[in-house]
Amino acid sequence: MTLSGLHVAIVDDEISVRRALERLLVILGCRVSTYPSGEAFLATLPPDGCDCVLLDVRMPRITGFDVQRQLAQDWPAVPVLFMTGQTDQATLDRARVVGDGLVFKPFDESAIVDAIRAAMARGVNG
Amino acid sequence: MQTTAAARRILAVEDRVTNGKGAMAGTRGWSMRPGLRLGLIMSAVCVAYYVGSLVGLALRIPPAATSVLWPPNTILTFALLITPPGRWLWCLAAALSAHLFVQGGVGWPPPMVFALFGTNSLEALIAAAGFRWAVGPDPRLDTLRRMLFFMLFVGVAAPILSGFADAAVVWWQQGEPYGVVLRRRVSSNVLTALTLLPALLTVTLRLPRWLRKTRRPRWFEASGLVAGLGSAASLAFWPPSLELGGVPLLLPTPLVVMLPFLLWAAVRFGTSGASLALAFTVFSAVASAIGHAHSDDRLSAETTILALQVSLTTLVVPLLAFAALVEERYRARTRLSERLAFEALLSRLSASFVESGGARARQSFAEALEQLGAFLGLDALILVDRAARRQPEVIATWTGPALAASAIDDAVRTFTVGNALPDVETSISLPGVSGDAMADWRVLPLLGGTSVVGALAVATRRAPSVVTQIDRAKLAAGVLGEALARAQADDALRESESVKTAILAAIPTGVALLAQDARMSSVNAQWQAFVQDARVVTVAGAETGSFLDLCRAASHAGLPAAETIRENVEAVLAGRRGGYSIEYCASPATYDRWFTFTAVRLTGSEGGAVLTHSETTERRRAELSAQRTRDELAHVTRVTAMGELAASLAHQLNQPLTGIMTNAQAARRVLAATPPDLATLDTILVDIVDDDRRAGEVIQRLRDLLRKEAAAYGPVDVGAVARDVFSLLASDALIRSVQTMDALPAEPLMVIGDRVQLVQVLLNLSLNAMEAMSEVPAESRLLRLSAEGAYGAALITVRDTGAGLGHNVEGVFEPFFTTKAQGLGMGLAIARSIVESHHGRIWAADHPEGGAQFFVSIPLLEGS
Repeated sequence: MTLSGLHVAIVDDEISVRRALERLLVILGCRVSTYPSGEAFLATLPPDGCDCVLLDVRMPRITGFDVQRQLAQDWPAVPVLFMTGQTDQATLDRARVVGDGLVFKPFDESAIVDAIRAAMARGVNG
Repeated sequence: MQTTAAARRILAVEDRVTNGKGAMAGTRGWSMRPGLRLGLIMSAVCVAYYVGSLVGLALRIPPAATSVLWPPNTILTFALLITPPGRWLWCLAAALSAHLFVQGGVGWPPPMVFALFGTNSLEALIAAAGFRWAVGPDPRLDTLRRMLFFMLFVGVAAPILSGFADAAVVWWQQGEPYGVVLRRRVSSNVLTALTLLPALLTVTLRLPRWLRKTRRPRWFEASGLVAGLGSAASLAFWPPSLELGGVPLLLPTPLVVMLPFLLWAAVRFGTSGASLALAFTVFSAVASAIGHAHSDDRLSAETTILALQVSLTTLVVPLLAFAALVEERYRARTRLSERLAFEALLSRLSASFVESGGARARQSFAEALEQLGAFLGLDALILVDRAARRQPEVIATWTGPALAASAIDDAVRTFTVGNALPDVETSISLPGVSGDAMADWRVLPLLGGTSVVGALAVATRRAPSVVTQIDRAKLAAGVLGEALARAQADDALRESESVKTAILAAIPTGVALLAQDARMSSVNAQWQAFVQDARVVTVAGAETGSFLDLCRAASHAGLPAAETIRENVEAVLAGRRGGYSIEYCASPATYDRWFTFTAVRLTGSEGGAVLTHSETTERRRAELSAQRTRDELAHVTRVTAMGELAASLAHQLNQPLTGIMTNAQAARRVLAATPPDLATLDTILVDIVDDDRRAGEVIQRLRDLLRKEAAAYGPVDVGAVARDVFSLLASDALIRSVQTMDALPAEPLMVIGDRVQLVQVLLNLSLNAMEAMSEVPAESRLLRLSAEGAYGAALITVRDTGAGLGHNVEGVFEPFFTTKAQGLGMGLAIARSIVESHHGRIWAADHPEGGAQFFVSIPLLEGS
């Protein structure tokens, strides 16, 4: 499954991560929207033709989990992929349970592509 | 000035001595019972009057009935002169009985006998009362003034005034011519009074003493004079018949022959000698005249008598006056030379006290007593030291040649016990002292300034001159008092010197006292010890000479600090600064040694300074060791803090690494396209470099904090430090869900300090604050960091919204204080030691709205 044509939302407070990830996904054929914080992303809901959300776990004020909870409540069909540099087990377990995928920063191109595909597949399979 | 004042005092005392002596002389010898004495006087007067009358009757030149000399009146005058007026009636009564006895045989009628006694008494009363009124009760004739008053009242007024009455009585009773009687009576009485009375006074009042006191040479002279007088008298008044070649040899007039001997008597023996010689001459002349008179020539006899009386009177008057003048001058000269001798003695004593100090002073006091005692003719002297707060102490004694030294033992014992010595001049009689021991003392207080410093006890057994001796002893007491006060002051000074030396010796630091001219006046052993330590050059050590020279020498010998010390000590001595302190390093070959030097200005009028010098190498090493320990501990706690921040740091590094990785893979995709989009590639590389730089900064901060180096002090911006700390903490705050807020000034807040250590202080405080908020809800966690400049210091405040410190406010900076499960409890203790090594202060308090706040205040760099 190619990523071409997928609409991906990136929510991360780190601008360099946002810029680099947007650049890579665009090259891979995606349509990308970026948001610097959870509030900024939630303010745009409903997700306009958004196929997948890449969520940073650790963000000031509203964390990735907060965003996911809100999204799962109102738009459960949108798959959520967590990104994190953290190593503590509780966070990782929770991300695996509530999300549709988990990638560790810094991540490989294939890792992110596979994760998005897997998340899309889970979302499609329901 | 002092000598003049002393001389004035001496003169004043001498005057009193002179006046008082006469009074004593007049009353001495009257020590028997009054009744017996009066009886003796009356008997003597009676007998003398009777004998005088017989003598007077015998001294007539027949056929004239008139006596050449008539002694009874003069004898009565003499009796009145030497007795007090209260006894005059008794004297007159005694004379009356003799008068009646003598005159009763003549066959005169009783009225005339009584009237003549009345005129005789009148003469005596006028003479005695007049003389007494003019010169006082003392009948001495040893001054010209006294002699002139004597001549006026006794020799002129009394005979003439009484003569009028006498002539009247004779004229009334016998019918003799008034004028003739008056002339006979007056001429006779004048000569008798002028001749006999001085001789009587001399014989009764002066001769006994003269005989007792006079030494052998004077005896020889007196004998020679008597022999000369006798020979001259025999030659003059009973001349041998000499012929030379058949011509009778004419001798000069008798008085010319006598005159040399009379002058001799007057010049060498004063009024006493003159009066006796004159009496002898007059009586010889009269006897000679009587012997050579022709018995049939009454008129010639009268004329001879008158001529004799007049010539003798004219001889007596000037000679007596001359003798009085001579004696007065002699006495004045003697007194003056005595005064000078005493004054010289006092000067010698003063000088000897000035020259002798310390232990020799005692010897000087002993010598002074010896000289004084011998000069004043005393029997014993005791000098007692009564220095304040001490038992009286006898410091010198002297006993005259007539006394055994043990004769004053009782007095010495008495004066040294308790408070036996009075503060004012007192006569003390020691009870229970008997035998040859001295029991009666005159105690003179010795004054040093206004306070009594001691006493001089004087003993003398010879009453007559005690007044002179005591008064002179008082003058000497003035000199002794001043000397004693000085000796006591010397003792006190020596005592305080020894106390000072002891104090200086007890001080473990080297101490030197500098005079205003920088000379070292006193140093202790610890100061001198530095000169014996040849391994190092310091500014201490020498015990004499100029301290400034010592500094120059030390500077020359390779001690750079010595020059600075010299300049500052000069400033202290000049009063430009009150004190100076420096710790300097002297670097011999082996290892560094440290010394602390201080100079404190002495504020007294004489100026000068106190220097202290001590080696502080051990302390310095301990300080350095403590500093190293502190640095190491700080490093350990920094490493610990890094552990706490590990997750945060991993996050901070992870972000740029993620960006780099992702960008790199995007770049590969760009390169794989044909043709590659070089513009995009360039943007990607720029982002990669940025991310890498951010990662490098994180690593650099980490490296700084893990660095293990000694503190490096320099100008540091506290605001920049605070921003750094916030950067370090940003991720951690995120992890801990703590919001951060800062209020940092745009302009730099410069202090002198070590940047890493200051970062550590704020990091510790901030980590502590975030830890303190772990128990409160995430939305309430707020860390505030602010910095401001106030009152010359940079004030940094770290505030949290935790539970606050409560009762832990006091102990929070103590080592090993912790509320955390993990942690050394050293964070805040280290923070405090760092702040204090920056001359700052750190303290904590609870905020009124909750939470704790920590304050750090560090002095701002001057001029920033």
